[in-house]
Amino acid sequence: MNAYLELDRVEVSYGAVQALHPLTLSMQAGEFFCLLGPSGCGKTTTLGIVAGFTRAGGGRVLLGGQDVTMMPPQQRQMGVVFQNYALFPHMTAAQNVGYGLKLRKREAADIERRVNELLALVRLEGKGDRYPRQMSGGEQQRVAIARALAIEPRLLLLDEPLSNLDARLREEMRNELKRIQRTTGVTTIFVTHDQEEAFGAADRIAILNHGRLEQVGTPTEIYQSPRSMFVANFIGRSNALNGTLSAPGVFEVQGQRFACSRPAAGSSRSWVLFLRPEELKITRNPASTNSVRGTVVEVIYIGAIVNMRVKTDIGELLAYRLGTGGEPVAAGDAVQVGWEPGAGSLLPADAHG
Amino acid sequence: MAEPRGSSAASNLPQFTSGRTAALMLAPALLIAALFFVVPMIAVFVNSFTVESGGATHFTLSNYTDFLSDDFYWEIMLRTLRISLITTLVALMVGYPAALYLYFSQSRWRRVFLFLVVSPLFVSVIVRTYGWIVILSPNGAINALLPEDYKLSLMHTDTAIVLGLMHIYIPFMVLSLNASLVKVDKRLLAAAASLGASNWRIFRDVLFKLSLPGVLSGSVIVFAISMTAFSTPVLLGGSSRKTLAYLVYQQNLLLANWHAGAAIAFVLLAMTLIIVKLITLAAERGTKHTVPQ
Amino acid sequence: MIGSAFWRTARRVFAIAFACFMLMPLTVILVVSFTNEGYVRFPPASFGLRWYKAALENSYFTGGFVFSLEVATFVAIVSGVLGIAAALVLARYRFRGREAIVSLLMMPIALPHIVLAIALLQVVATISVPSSPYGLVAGHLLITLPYVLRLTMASLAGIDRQIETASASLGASPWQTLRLVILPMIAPGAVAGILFAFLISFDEVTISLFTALPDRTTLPAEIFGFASHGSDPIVTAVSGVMILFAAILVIVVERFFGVLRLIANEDRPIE
Repeated sequence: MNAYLELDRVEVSYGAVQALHPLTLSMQAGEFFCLLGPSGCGKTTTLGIVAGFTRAGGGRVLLGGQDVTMMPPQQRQMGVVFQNYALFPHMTAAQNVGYGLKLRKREAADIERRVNELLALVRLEGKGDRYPRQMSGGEQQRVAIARALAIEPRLLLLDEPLSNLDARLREEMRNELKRIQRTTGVTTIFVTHDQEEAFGAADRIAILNHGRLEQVGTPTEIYQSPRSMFVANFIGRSNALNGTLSAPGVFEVQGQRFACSRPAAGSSRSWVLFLRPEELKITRNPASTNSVRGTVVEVIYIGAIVNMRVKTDIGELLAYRLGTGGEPVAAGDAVQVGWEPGAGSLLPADAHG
Repeated sequence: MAEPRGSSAASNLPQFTSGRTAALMLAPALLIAALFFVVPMIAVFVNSFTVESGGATHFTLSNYTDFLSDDFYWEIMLRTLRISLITTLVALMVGYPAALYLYFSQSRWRRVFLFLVVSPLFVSVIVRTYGWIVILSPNGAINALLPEDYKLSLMHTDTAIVLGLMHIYIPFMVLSLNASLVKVDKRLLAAAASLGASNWRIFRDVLFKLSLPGVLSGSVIVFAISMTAFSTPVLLGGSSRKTLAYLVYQQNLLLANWHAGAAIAFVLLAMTLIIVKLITLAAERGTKHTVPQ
Repeated sequence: MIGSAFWRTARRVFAIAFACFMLMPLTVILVVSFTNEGYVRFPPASFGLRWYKAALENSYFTGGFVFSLEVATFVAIVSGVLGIAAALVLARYRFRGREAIVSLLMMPIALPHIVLAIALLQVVATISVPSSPYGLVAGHLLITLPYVLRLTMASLAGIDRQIETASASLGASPWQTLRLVILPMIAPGAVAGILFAFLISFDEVTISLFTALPDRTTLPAEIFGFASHGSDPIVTAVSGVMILFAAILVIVVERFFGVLRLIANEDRPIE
């Protein structure tokens, strides 16, 4: 299967600083792809390379099989939505949307029809005469998306498009983006530092850190099987247990032994078992298998979820469970914290990140 | 003089002085402005509408009508206007690329460049003008570069005045343009590029349009100070290429003809204000709704 | 706009050419001022300090220089004191007529010097033939006060007023707060304004020329008189001294305040 967009060992450095280590990524046509990572991880740099704003220090960018590495942004036909929208302040919403078409020397009537179509797509019918400064942040955002879509882009590139919106609007716009992407079928790259945005919108996610690719996969894959310490720590919350593989299938933490799915010890002497809070089961049964004794420190109800902090011999553990399930637990109770033998992700402690 | 009263509107924070002390602190500056600015301006305005004959002072419009009905003076007025407009245009055309350099440059030379652009402002206008005299004079720097039979007579020409004025006032143009350009987000240029705009279209449709407030303010400043400049046009134009400033100098200082001298000064002021107003109106009409803020 | 090699070179060439153009008149003056010949010629055939010596022995120029220094020092101090005092009041009190007063004090820099100059000339000379240069000094005060006022008011506007409350809560009297808290905080702006006032007064030609006393005038006005008779090597030497003086002041301003911040507002974050 041929990829639609391929980054082949693309790298960028600014002086002595390597902003992006050789990066290889591929995307399928029609995919909603997300680049996720903390600030300075290289995600915006990657977007800049795809758009043609940033020159790659090495490697190739292939779009639909064509090498576009050295192609100027003008010729790439990519719709870009900037973090601050970058709407032309001296043009109305309609003029902003129509600008790319005007540059392509389309007829005025043609442009008008297309602009109205796009304004309708982003639900801004009748607001084409407004200037950006007369519009709310969410409306400006929609204009920016319509402007990017107007040129029938080969790729839609979104650089932190939701970060300037307030929380309520952010969720609404995220769903809007998904709807628009599904309606138009345009292959989309979405850059964000917010994992909730990424998980809520993307078909696949690439996680970057310090200019390196940590992991690519569907949201489920990334959540359930993080492949590096960084990903495990960065995505969601985890209990990290430091230990050793003392025998095949045995993970030992501070003298306590637990069953694990890993059959044999690897080269690394110390390992970390990442357990999601919802993977932990809290019971009053004494001495169940694969569990550890502890005392409940704190119980907090957050909506439907109950957060429990439990002090155990192997450190303090965080556990979630639905408020309605299981027997009630209160601070000070003596409990057993246990998990399935195959649960969690076991990673060598020296894995980078 | 209004006596300052403790401000309840501004804030309820403690103030460091009483209203009386505050009035005393403000008084000296106001006194100077009243005695040496307001009174003289009124006096000179009155002088422009009076003549003295037989020890008495009479009201008259003749200071203005004599001036405005004389072709010789009209020639000087039009020359002053022409020189100022050309100076403004040349300063804009030379200053714009300099402002663009400031906008795009990210190297450490940017600050050096900006420093070099503004540093002449610290040297007296008279010294900078004198530099141009040395450059343009028959034995000067330009003629030193030319072969024997092609020596130019540059002093006391309109070109000399334009060159001198343009050089002296170009920092103001560059600073105005720079102030306007720094507000243009570079992502707008990237956005235009991604939509397919060529470099020229990016400049024409986005960057230049958004710099128009700076173009306007820079042009107005350079035009107004070129019109009313004194030492540069007088020294570089001499008595053969008189400007209005020269007439003011001649009537007031050389001939002590104060009534006519005052009238010419107000004609100069009025002409400058009218044209600045016209430029601003034209610019507002041309960029209606298009320029933000 | 993403620079190709050609454009990058073109940009660099333009920047260098433009900078050379800006510095050309001053450079030419400095070169010619070291001529050993009896007349101005560029480039000079021989070099020496002949004209600097001549300038030092010329009573017009030495007298003008001393007078300029006296005037500029006096103007800077008076402008500084009156300007800071007025700024403190205008920035801290809201009263009727406040905006009008600010406009009145700022107006002289919006008017052409030539208009101010003849206004002062006509009034001062009507009263009497003056024996002290009060017209000249007043004219300089009018055009320097706005700078002190503006820079000090800008500095005051930048002070969080809670700092004053904090000072008062620690037991400082209003005058102690002024002396120990406010004045030190506005000092960079006020000092820059005072240095600017000095320089403007020292460099000013037009008002000086129109309001000069018969026997005493400033150095720029002396230069004007010489310059109107054509080029003279002694003037280039005097100009050289003026350039040196400006250079020293630029360095001082740079130390206290930053030249580019003062003139180009270049401390604002770009974006």
